[in-house]
Amino acid sequence: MAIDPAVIETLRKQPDMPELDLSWLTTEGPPAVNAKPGRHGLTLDDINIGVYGDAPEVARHGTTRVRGSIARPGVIRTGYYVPEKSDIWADNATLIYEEALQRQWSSATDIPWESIEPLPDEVEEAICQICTFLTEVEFIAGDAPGQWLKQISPDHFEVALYLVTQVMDEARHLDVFRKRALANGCGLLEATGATRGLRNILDAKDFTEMSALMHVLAEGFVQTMFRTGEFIAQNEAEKMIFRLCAQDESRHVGFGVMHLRYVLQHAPERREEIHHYLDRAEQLFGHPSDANSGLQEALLITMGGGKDNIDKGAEMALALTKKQANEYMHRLEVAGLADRRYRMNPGFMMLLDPPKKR
Amino acid sequence: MADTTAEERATASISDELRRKAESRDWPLPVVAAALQAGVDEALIHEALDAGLTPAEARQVILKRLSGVEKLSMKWARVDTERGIRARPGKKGLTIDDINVGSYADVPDVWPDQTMRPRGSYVKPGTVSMGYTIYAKAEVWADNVGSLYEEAIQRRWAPATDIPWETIAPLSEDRERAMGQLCTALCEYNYMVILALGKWIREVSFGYHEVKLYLSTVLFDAARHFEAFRKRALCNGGRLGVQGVGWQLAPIRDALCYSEMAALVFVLNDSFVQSLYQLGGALGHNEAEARLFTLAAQDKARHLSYGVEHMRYLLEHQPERREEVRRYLQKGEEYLAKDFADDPSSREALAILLGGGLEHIGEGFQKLKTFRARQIQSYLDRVEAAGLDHRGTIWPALAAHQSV
Repeated sequence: MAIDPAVIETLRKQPDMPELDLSWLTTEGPPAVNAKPGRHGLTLDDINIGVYGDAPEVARHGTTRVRGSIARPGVIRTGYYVPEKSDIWADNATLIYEEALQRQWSSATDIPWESIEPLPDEVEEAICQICTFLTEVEFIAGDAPGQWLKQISPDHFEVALYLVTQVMDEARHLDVFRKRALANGCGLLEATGATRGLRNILDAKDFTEMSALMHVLAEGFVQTMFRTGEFIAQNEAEKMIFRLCAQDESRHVGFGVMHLRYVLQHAPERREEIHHYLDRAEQLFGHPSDANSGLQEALLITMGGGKDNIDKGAEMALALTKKQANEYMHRLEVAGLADRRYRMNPGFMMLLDPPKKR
Repeated sequence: MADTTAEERATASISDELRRKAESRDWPLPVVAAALQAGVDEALIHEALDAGLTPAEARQVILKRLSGVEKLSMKWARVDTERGIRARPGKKGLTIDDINVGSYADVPDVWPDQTMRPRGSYVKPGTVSMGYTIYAKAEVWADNVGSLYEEAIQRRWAPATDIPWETIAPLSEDRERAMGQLCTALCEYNYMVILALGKWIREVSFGYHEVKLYLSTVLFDAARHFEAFRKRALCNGGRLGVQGVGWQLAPIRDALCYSEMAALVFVLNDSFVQSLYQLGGALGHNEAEARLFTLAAQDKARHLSYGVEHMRYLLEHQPERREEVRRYLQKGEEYLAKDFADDPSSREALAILLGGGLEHIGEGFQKLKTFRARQIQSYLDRVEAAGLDHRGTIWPALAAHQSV
């Protein structure tokens, strides 16, 4: 039922009535909609109807006006946003945002902490060294997207919402690995100082650069490690930690791959630029070095089952490293960067299985 | 075709002799090229080829040589950090406060480290800075930050599935439009919080990781509120409204120090938004709205709790900043009052909702006066709880709304 202008006129004439504007009540804007919940509830995709779902190719305003609301002239700017959709977008952002909300977990109550039993000293120390490393590095994937949020236009809000879930996930990861390190008689050990590669992520001046380095490369490697956590874990609590963290990381990697694909599809001229970012990142992220030798040794001990079994540990750690490199290459192929195989950093290229015959 | 060219480029450094030998043994040339680039002696590769190793066996040999740790140093296990910590879960599970034991609980007034070193661990000298800017505990700290973090996680909810959207029934157009207008304003505010906190969370050094963790939950809440109110606006035959004038958001955008932002977001503006959430819960036209606003208010209560505790901590530990904080609040109040004055859409929408429809908007304005006075009272009570008597110094244009 439309608003009757006569009612408004009558109201304006009432004694003691403050001055009425009410133009907002009759302004024609985008059409009314009636989104209905589907079998996953009322999702962002369900409300992305008509103009409300049209994320523009270029965000043309610098205010907090939300997409689909009626613009008001003269509103102050709230910042400078990345204008081009192709510079920040991923088609799966809404899906993984909703998934993130459904799959939140609590490090306090969802981990069977009581399953942790005393371990041989060297194994406990190795677990704690791995936890120290992860407590140290995980929140880089919170800080980095955090600093980009202020540049995401509300026209492209889906990306901002997704990135926020990632910040939340990484907070939980920092928290859960710290808890594990302090739960079984050892404590935190040596931070790796593996900051050259991580600083490179913070230093990124371009969103796609940041995303390729963080989501595809760094988090991809961490994701593979979490997924092989069964071989590192010594008890049910640790298995659950790795399993839940891997589930979170899958979303992060998924965003990165889909973003990269979107960029390569919509701005193919950026291909060589992206290779340059990865050239530098792979070099810094690199191979075992002094910076993360503690982590390498700790992995040999946990995967081998003790200090006396490092040959087995080395074999498994090598298998993990190869898996990391191959999965990284696979993600790049999915993103549309298959030619990376032939210019990858030698340290990584050595680890690749031969390409499948076409 | 493009791949072949790339492969040719990648393998250009292989000598002709080695290339011929590798091809005759069916070795992939990229593996040979990678080995050379990684520093493997060409003679060793010839040796492997002559020995009749398959490419897979050769790869294993080369990889072990390149990436294996041949002998454990265990240096990392001998660092001087506190050992013997065995935190145990309490009745709320293993919380962040439960692991704050021994030296790990020591949160220094000034954090000396620019790296990502977790508090209580050791880091080698020479590690590069990560560019944080906040190294003073008083600038960010609140004693309740650990418990608020855990509470936020326990009380998580999902707008998609935790709101009974099916209970929403059509409203008259004036009331639906008013609700859409209110939702639009709440979306804008929450988006501004996302922009602001995203910027500040990265500035906090690792010594105060509890604050980083807690702020992550606030960001998460703000995203959820943005999402939830957008959904409400678009699920009942309505629409989003007219953009707000945005003055309220300017000081948040402009804040140059964390405590300024915290005073503006977590004490001033959140206090006013909390009143709106509570009002929405009370006015709820249906179960969905009642639940939506109630859950949002539950989240907002945590934000306010942090804001008040943080301001109290700051004023206790840096009392010389009292007048500075008051000025931040006054600046925010000035802009908030400007919003009230310049934005008829927000106040008229509230009057329609409070009055129960356009025809009762006059009655709604009367109720709005009382509502505003209560908003200011609640805000001033919170500022007082934080240790700042501000009743006589509140910005005059906002103070004018105190009288009913």
